[in-house]
Amino acid sequence: MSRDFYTQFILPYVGIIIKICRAYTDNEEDFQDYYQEVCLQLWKSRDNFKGESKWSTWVYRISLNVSLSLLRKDKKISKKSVELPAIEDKVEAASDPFQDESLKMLYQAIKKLSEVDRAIILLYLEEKSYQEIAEIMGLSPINIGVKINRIKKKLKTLLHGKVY
Amino acid sequence: MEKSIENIWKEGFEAETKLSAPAIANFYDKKSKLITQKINKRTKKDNLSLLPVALIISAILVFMGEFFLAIYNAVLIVALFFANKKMLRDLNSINIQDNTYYYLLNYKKQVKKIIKSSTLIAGLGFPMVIIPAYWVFFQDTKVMIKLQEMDSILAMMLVAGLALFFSIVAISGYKLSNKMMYGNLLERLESTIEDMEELMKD
Repeated sequence: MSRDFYTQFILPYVGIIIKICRAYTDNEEDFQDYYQEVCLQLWKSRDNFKGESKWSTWVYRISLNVSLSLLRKDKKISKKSVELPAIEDKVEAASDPFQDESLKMLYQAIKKLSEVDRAIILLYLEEKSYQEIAEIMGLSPINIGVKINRIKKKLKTLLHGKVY
Repeated sequence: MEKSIENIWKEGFEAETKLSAPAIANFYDKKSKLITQKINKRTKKDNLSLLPVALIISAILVFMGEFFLAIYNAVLIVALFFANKKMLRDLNSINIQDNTYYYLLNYKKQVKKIIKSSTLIAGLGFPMVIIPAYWVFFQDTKVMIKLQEMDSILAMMLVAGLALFFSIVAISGYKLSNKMMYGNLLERLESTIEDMEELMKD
């Protein structure tokens, strides 16, 4: 991967890639793997980008697809190897390296959501329009609106009413 | 007043200083290891399966009273098992060193060498098993008596033709089974090497 490609097409979106990868991983090693795989897939898929949507939309789509497919693969492997405790128990405060306590708690709550809900709320929090979220997720904008309201309610419950 | 999730997100990340990207290095290390480990594991299992095959064939032949043929087959299959074992040991002993790309190139070279040797073994070995077996089984039948009465050159040509036919069948069978069992893994190995070459060019 050339430095130019990284600087021009990945670096401006590093923030969102990190946020997405963090939302789907529970430890630093997995996070690094997911991040590298996303960058690699962005580089490999660069010729498939036809410019029909914004490059940022492409980045979100690839990041989510890669994270979801790696997560499913990891789940399969862990199911095969040993019976692990529920995912909720694995999500610990130490897994997210954020300084801000409220942000750390919010991330833990987000990780307790379903895979798709996690993707939708991440895009919403990144201030993407319903239209853009719908485009990335392959759903209708109305559906997205309904889902976001439900997810926000779920998050409120998970955060024990500490935020609203 | 408590913060909304939107504000926690926005303010949290604005204050976040640790949001730096991890280094992009060793992209293919894990991938390469996974592919080669899978190939190694499968080839080992594949080779081990030769032992019960030798045992079953020999048992059937002993049951049929063909002791010489049983021993002959068992020796051939066990010899194949040890030949394969040696080749697989060589494959496992390839040094990873510092560079995954060169490791994969060496690995691919060794795999190709094994496929070439196995194709040769299949092409030679199958007629070596089938023709004597046929000879023993149909010893006093009309066909065999006719063959023995034939002109020796013609008889030899006929046996050679049969050997060639069995050889082609064995090689085709080996290639097909190889494609079914290892095709996907070998394609992944190939595409990983291609990706790495493209990465180095870019």
